[in-house]
Amino acid sequence: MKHWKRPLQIIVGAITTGIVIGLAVQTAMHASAPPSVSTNATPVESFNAASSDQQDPNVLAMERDIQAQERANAEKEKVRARRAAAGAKLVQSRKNILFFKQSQWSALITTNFSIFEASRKSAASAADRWVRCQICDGRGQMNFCLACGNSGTCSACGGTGQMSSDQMCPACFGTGKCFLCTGSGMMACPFCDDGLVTANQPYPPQTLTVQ
Amino acid sequence: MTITRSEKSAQNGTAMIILCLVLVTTAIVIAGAMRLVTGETGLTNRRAKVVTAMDFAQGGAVIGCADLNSAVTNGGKTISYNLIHGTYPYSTNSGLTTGGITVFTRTITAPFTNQSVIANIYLTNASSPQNAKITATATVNGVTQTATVHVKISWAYPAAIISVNPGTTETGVSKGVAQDGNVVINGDKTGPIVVDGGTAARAVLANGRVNWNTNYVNPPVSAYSMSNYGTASEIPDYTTQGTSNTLFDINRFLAVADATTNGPSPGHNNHFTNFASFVTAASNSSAASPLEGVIAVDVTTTDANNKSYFPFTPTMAPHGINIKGTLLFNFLGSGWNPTTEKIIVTADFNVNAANLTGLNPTNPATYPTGYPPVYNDNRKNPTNINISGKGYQNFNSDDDLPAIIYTIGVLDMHGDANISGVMYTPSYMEIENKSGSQTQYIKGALIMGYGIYYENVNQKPGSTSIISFDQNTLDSLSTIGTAGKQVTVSYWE
Repeated sequence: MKHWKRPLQIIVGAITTGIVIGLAVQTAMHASAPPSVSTNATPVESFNAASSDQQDPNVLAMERDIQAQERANAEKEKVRARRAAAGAKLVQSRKNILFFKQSQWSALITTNFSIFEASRKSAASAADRWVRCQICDGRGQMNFCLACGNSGTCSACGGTGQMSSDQMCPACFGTGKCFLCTGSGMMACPFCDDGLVTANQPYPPQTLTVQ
Repeated sequence: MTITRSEKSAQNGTAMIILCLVLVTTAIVIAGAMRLVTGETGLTNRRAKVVTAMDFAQGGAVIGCADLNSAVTNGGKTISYNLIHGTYPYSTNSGLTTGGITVFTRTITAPFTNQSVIANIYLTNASSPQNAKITATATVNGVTQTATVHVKISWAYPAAIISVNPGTTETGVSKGVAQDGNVVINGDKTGPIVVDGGTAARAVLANGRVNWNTNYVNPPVSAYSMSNYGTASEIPDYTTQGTSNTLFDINRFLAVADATTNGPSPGHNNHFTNFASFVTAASNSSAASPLEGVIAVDVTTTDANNKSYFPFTPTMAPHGINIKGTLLFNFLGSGWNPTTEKIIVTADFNVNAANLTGLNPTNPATYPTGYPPVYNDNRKNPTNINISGKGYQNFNSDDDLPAIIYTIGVLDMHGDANISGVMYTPSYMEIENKSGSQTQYIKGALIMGYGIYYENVNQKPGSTSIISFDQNTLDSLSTIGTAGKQVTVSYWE
C-alpha cells in the first residue's frame, strides 16, 4: 500500500501545482491588461440614465432642447388643426360674403359691357392685338372692392384673422385681409388681364364667384 | 541484505524521477490550457473596447454634425460665432488651428453615461464655407478610437420653385389662388410648360398649396412638396425682410450698384434713380453689349402708372433688356403691395442669357445655362467692387449672386425671357407667356414670399415656358450669414 500512496500524493501535488501556476499566469495577465469595459449601454439608454444627472450642463442643455422641441411640435400641431378646420369652410365662407354683392356685380358688368366690347374690337385691329383697358385705365384693378367696401380688411373677421381665440377665419385664412383684393382695397378688373384687353379677352363672369 | 536494500533504493529513485516528470508535465499542460483560455478572453475584451470606443466616437461625430448644423441654420450670425455662443459651446482649438482652417472643440458628455467624447470641427476661413470636417475621439478603458466625417454646407431646400408663404387650402389654378400665397402652374396642351427639379431637387417646395394642371416633363407627384406650413418640413421664412432668416441684404446690392464706376446711369454708376434713364439704357443694350454688374433700378408707383413706361414693350427696348449680373428692381415709396401693384414687361428679358440653340422643352438634358456670367468689363464684376467702406462685406469670387431681386411690389413678365440664376422677392411672382412663338426660360431657382402664378395657356404653338433647377446658382448663394444653408454628410472616413 505504501508503494502506491506516495506516487498518488505526487500526482495530486502535480495537478495542484499546475492549477496554481495557471491561476498565477491568468492573474498576471489580468494585472497587465486594462480592466474590462465598464459600460455597454446604448447612447439612448445611457441618456435616459443620464437624465437624472442634473449636475452635467450638457445634460441640462439637451433636456432644455428636447422640451423646446416638444413645445414647438405641439404648437405646430395646433396650427395644422386650425388650418385644416378653416380650410374646410373656406369656399362656403367666401360664397357667403359674395352672395350679398351679386347685384352690385351685375350692375358693374352691365354698365361697362359696351366699353369692354369696343375695347375687344379695337384690340383685334391693333398692331400688338391688345389695347389698354378703358374701364380700369390700364391698371388691372378697379379703384374699389365689392367684398370689403374698399377697406382691404376681411369682412368676416374684421381684420383680426380670427373667428375666436382658437379658430382661424376661414374667409381670409388668418391674414385679416380681404380675399378679393388681397388687402389693397382695389379688386382686380373683371374686364381685362393686367390692364390689357386682347382681341380674344374672355367675357367677365355674370356672377361673382369664388376662384 | 545490503544488495536488496540498494535495489529498492534504485527502484524508488527511478519512480521519483518519473513522478517528477509527470508532475512537471501535468503542471505545464494545465498552465498552458489556462493561458490559452485567458488569452482568448483578453482578445475578446480588447475587441469589445475598440467597438465601444468607435461607437462613442461615431456618436460624437454625429452630435458634432448636429452642432455644426445648428450653427449654420441659426441665421444672422457667422458659423464661428454660433459655435462659440451656441447651446453647446465650442472653443477655438489653437493647437489644431492653422492659417486657413480654424478648429473648434468641445467635450461631449451627454447623452453618454460616464463617457466623454472630444469633438473637433475643422472649418475653412471663408465667408461662406462650403465644406467642413468633423472628428470625434473616444477613449474606453485605454482604447482610443476616432471617427471622421466630411460634410458640405449647401442650399437647404433644393427646388426649382420655393414658396415660403403659408398659403391656403385652395386647389384651383387661377391667379387669385396664387395671390393667396400658393403656387399655381396653369398650363395648356399646346404651349409646353415645364417645372423641372431634375434628379437632385424637387420641382416645387411650398409651405402652401401647389396646384398644377400639366407639366410637360411629367415628374412624379413626389416632385411637388406642398402644405409644409406647420410641419417639420416647413420652409423658414426666407423672404420677410429684417429677420434672422432673411436671405439677402438688399442694401448690400444697392451699395454695389452705387459704388460701380463707369456705369450707364446719370450718376455714372449702376444705380438708376429715375426710371426714364433706365428705359434709355435698356433700349441701348443688346446681347453683345449688355448692362453689367449689379443694376439697381428705383421704381415708384408713379412710374408704374406712367403709360410711357408700362407695359415695358419691345418697342421701348428693341433688343430686349440685356443684363449680365444682377437686376434689382427697388420699388420705392408708398402704394406698393406684395401681390397686386405691379409693373408689366412684355419686352425680351435677358439676364445671364443662355444659348438656347438646341433647347428641347421636353428634354431637361438640353436645358443650358448662362450662369455664371462672364463679364466683358471686369471692373463691373461685383467681386471687384469695394463696399467695405459703406459697412458691407465685399462679395468674393465664391459667391453666387441672384439674377433678379425685387422688393415689395410685383414684376409681371409677359414676354420672352432668358434668365440664368436665382430670382428672389419677398412679394408674389407672376410669369405669363402671353404670345405665340415666345420662350420664357429660367435656369436656377425662384424664391418668393407671396406665391407665384406661372401660366402658359397660349393656344399658339411654340410658346414655351420652362423653369429648371440649377444647383450651381445657389450652393454658394450670397445670403446674409449662412441663411438658407444646411449641413449634409459627404462621406465618412
